[in-house]
Amino acid sequence: MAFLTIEPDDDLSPAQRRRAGRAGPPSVLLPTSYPSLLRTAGFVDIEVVDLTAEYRVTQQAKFDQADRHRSELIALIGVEEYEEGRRERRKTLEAIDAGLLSRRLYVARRR
Amino acid sequence: MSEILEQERHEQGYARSEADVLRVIERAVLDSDYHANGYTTRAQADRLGDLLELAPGHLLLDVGSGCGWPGLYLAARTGCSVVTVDPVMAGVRTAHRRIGDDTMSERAWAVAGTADQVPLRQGSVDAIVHTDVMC
Repeated sequence: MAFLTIEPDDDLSPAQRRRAGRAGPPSVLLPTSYPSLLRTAGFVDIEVVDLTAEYRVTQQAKFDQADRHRSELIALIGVEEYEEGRRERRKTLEAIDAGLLSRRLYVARRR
Repeated sequence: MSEILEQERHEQGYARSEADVLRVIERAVLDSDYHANGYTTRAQADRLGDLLELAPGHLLLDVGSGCGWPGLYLAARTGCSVVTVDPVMAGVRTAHRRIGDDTMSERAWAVAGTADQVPLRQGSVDAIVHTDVMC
């Protein structure tokens, strides 16, 4: 199994974790860790690769492209949804820069 | 309730994904043309394929694949077979259309389902991938 996911960074305070939850995608906060979930499901040889830098580049690219195509996007989704999306992406970028959100690649093998 | 709203949001998003401007943005950001709306770039998808050592004769399961990214792409690139699973019907329909467009119907299937109710026998897949699903 190999998967990519966005999750709160390690060792956050409760307040930081809440902020990560607000800035990240829906369901970004889990009551447990991915390695724990994998082990419970019978996976072994778990490897983790941090891809947060690439995530930041992609998030910034989404932000920039939304700016570049502003009029077309507003025609498609309306100005309210466009502006809300812009605010959400900015909030996510700030959370990444503050070390609150990470993107990781997990690889594991079934026992 | 929030799960229902989330599903409705995805339905709306996938239905809109045909819009030219979204296809242009997807190409620019992800280098993908599979109506992808997450964060997995083509280079990252290639990396997943390499890590899983996908090849003809292997069956890949892509859980929560939306419109089929990256599962359908990995099947096209590596020659493996793929089953893509998603609970959102608009995404499943788009994936199904792409399978037809790419003449991959003999080794690619798009089905409706959730991660805890995958319509496959246990032990029947060689590899599993998912990207930005639980988040």
